[in-house]
Amino acid sequence: MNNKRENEGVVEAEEEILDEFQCCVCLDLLYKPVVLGCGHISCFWCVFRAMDSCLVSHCPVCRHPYNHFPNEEKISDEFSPQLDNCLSGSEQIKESCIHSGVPPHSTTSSCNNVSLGPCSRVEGESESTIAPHKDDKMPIPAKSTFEATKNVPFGQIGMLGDKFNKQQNSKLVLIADFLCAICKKLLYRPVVLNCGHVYCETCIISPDDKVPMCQVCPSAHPNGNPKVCLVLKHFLEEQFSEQYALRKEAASKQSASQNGSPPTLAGSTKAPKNASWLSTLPTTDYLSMLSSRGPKVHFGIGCDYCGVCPIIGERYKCKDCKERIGFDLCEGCYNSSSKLPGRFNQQHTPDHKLEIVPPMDITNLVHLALEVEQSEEDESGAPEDMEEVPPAPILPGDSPHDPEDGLADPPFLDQECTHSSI
Amino acid sequence: MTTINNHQDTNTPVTAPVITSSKQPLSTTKSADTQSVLKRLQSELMALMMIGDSGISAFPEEENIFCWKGTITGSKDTVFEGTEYKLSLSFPNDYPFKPPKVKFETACFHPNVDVYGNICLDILQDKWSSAYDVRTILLSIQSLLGEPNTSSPLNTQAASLWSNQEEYRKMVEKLYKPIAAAA
Repeated sequence: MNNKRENEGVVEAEEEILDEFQCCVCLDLLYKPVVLGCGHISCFWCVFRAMDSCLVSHCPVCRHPYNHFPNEEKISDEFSPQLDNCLSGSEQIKESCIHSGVPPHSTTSSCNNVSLGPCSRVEGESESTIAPHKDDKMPIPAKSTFEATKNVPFGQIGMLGDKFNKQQNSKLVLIADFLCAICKKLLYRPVVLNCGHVYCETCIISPDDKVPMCQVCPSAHPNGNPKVCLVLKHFLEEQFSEQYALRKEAASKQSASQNGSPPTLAGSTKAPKNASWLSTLPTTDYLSMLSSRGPKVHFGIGCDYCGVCPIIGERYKCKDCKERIGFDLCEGCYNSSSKLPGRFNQQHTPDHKLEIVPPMDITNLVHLALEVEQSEEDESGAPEDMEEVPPAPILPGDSPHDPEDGLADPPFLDQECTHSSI
Repeated sequence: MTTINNHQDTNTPVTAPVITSSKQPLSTTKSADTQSVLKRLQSELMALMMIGDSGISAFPEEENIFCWKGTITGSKDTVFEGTEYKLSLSFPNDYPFKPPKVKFETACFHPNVDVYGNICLDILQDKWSSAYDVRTILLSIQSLLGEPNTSSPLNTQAASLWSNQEEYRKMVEKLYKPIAAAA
């Protein structure tokens, strides 16, 4: 790093990384990346905050509808400290920003609050705040990387560039970290399931449109087949160009010997026609719920195993989890034996008691939303369970005395336009 | 999990994001919010300046990065060719999860713009996505100029005149007050 020329190379390499691994929402380096079913990648908190907790959520990039908050992508979590550094490098930076931005006498927990915005109130509540979590995310090799960066002038560029170099040096280690759990070869056209595990598209997607089942957790991937995560694909193509080309060759040979159809698109193009797709997207459920037929919809409440939000059907709430974000399961996950951890580091254990909770009444939701709005004005500000009323279009007989009109959001309804026409 | 997003801050633009030394939890989270919004807006500004699109530009107002002034020019081969419009953008505290408020500052005779400069555009309302930014907003408004949605107009006079492009052009010219004059 003392060498000037070397530094320039680092800067170039780093800019490449920044472009490739930039979150489309915060425009920063991806932090705890999650991959949506459409293959688009974003930060954990960015996806969480962009989700519509009352209706169907849409991918920020392609508007692909979804209603499951995916788990963190597992390659960066389990397999590769190197990629982890590369992908979540902003973590360090974010933290440094916090430290400079927060008065020195603040406690650690308030630092965490600052780092992640309002969502972090959640994590701040739990025992394991960011700091311990970070430790388990950054195993020993990662630490040495950070030590190496210490003499680099502070800033994204120096730090990342150094990581990038490290990464190239340890190519051999890396390739073992990017293997598909099914074929045990380098990931080819990687798809990320809702649980965050990564497979080759051809390995996990069956031609007969069966619901993809993760072989590691095991859990089902909702709403049709996932699409290839292009960010990850490009990364693999660049990092392991030779091996990736070999995989490509093999795949095209295989498909030619089978039936001549290109293997790659077999699953993804069919996805929307998938039966499970139609049944899990809950638009009809909302309507039937509001006319008090059909299943219950728990607006604003998500399942901590499968990530479905809002929960439809029974909601099982943990009585023993102390975290403010709470711990909830949908009926399907409650009945399954899966033992995934909560998404927000909740300290949920199998001996915790769960109880069935009825959905909140619509009128309560309205009241609560108003209360929150008011309390945000004065200092307490801590939002309770629900903050937002479902947008009006789904409310039958819009309450005539809509009191939050005016101080709430910009108009979200089409009819607003015609109202205000001249 | 209980979602705690979608909080509805009033959309009044906040003044410059100052990190106060207050110990109150609210101000901590508020400044956290502000910090991430600030960061994003700075990235956007950088990108806008790097790309340098022709026909659109935007820059924060003095001392307040939450309020921007943008300009768009009418595209070629539309009735708005040769005109230039000034807009104001004000960003909520939870931007980009909520859209900014965008208004025409220069009077614009257009089916989807009312006399106050309010714009009826789906991506600024229910079709907003957190991946949109100032650049895409301005480009969308620019293309809205040439391709209005006359089926749900804010300005019915403009909507009914739209079919007659020659007359429309005259009207645009008649009502157009260039930025310098308007400001």
